[in-house]
Amino acid sequence: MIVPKVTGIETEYGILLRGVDPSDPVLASQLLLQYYQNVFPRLPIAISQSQTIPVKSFDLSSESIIYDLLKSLVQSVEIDVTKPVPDSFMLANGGRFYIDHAHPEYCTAEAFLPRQIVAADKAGEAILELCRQRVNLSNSLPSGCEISIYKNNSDQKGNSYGCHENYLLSTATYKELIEHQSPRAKEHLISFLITRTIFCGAGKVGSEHGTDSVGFQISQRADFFETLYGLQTTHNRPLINTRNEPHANAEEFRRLHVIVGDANMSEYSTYLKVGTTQLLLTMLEEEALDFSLAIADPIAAFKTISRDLTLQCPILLANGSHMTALEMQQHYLYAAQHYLQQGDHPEYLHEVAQIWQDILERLSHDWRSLNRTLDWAIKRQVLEQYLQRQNCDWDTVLQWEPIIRQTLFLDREVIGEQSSDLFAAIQSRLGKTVAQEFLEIAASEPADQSHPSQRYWQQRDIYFTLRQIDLKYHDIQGLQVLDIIPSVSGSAGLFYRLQQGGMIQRLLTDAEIAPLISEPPADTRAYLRSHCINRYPELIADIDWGKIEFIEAERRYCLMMDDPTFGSQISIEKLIDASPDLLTLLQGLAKMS
Amino acid sequence: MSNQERTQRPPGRSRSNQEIEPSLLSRQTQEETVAEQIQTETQRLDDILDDFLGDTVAPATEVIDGTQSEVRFVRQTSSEEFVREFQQPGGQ
Repeated sequence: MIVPKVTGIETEYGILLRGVDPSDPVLASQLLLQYYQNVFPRLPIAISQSQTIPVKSFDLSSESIIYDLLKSLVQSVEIDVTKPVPDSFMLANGGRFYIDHAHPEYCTAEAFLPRQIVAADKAGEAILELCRQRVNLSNSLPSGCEISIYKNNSDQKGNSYGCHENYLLSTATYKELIEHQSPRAKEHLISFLITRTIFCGAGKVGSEHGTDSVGFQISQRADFFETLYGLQTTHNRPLINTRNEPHANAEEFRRLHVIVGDANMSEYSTYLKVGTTQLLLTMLEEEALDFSLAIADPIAAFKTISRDLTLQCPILLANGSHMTALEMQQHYLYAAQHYLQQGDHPEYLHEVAQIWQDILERLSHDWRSLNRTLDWAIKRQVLEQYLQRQNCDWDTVLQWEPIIRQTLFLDREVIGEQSSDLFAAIQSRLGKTVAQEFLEIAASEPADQSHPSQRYWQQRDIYFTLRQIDLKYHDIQGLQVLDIIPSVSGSAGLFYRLQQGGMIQRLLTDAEIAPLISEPPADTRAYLRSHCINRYPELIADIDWGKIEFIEAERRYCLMMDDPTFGSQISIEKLIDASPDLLTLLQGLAKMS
Repeated sequence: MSNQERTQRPPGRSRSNQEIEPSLLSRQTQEETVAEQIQTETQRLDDILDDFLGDTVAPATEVIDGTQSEVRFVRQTSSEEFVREFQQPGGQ
């Protein structure tokens, strides 16, 4: 059985509450969520009861700044602090906005079309940015405090947070690939997911999680994967997540939960991430792949591919041969083109294949041809231009990195500029060997006439500036969607500075993104769910992706939406128009199913 | 392309030689155009980098939605302070 590839993206955002020490990500996330209703007063929300958290989660008895902030917030938006604080909203646009592991998380509504999924993802960014601006301008925060939000996957200190994709699969395919871990999972699914990094990686400075040192790598997430299969997502992360939560009729449908991907700023990177994966899964379901690209050691290969900026590193396959990640992706592209030629397939899949081909061809020539298009290439271009201005390169950065990491305790204002003082400080804290190592590294640049201490502090500035560029690339401040988001001058994120400067190739227009801030995609159950949230918000007692419970006249009604493809605009528009009340709508839906 | 990338590329992979050979004149024009484009883009990127990296001093005012307002928030600190401050809880 082939099922349509209904898809969604869920993004955990990084968040900083600046001006508060220590920064409290839960409070900052809560503020964003509370302000959703302030930003969109005419858009109803529905609250999932299973996701409410008791207000006692906050320490209201203390005189902490958290309490003061919450109190001032509560006063400004008239929220009763004696009631539980919801931490999850199902939105009128079919998406979900909630707090997960202390991060604000946004899930797009279910959709088919890759362009629409990208637009829904950007609409989620816009919602978070609007909430952020409103909180910051609300006087709920003390002077000097502000929230900033980052669409990335790592804090550069070993903490990772995900951007997951969800794809609808037939139960038979899911069981074969995921539950039974058939050979095809290794031959194709795993190989495809880790090699697609070459066009959907977001780029990262340095390494984490005890992996080999590197100046710059393509993936934000590759360092954090340690096993092939597993249920877990926060530790010992698996390439294939086996969490079985279909949010649909499990007899027919399952949800493939992909956790290896990066959060993307680039519309093209997101588009290719979901579009090519939809194609691959469709071909797997149709058994249209008659070759094997099983990788001998996928965990190691993921890290190798992420670190291979030449895109020419051979990967050992299980059959003993070698291929590069680019060559493997070309194989999947050719298979997809052949598959699309064989039958009557929707136009959007042909568009995916065309863009996929163009990107792979450009990658095979010179990554710089994509320095406006793909996240890792855009970021790499900026970082290398900065290094060039500093007369530095990645090799020098790597050479200095161990000594800088070991000496982060040193304070420039205390140590001063004298090399002897710096040497003495390193020797007294770390011993003679490390101090000698410092001198040797400083002396290894004979053309440089500056003192060792000058070189140390210069390299330390470079070390942090590279990371600052990396992190701030993902700051969502500066996103503009038509005139919906007020323009705020000043500290815009780097990606949006580049976009405003005409340095980013866009896939979408703002006009494609704007409607999805408030409206659902029209071709999945998100349309029906959105209608219920808009029309009957006060009757909703509980809600989830596939189920809505209503209470009307003290009677409880449950609307099961077991088929993610059911409830599209075209299928239920007439019924909606002919339904003056909830019961008529539910009765009509029951007859249709 | 870096030297390393050039040397690691297998021979015969480039398609440029298989394409229609442009005339010497048009090739020269093309090369000049590409060089100009690269120079322009490099300059624009430099300007953005200057703006981004120079954004370390707190401004007195900012323009919000077309209106000049007094700055209320913390502005970018040094690279080192910012990177050290950027600590996130682990997630999924």
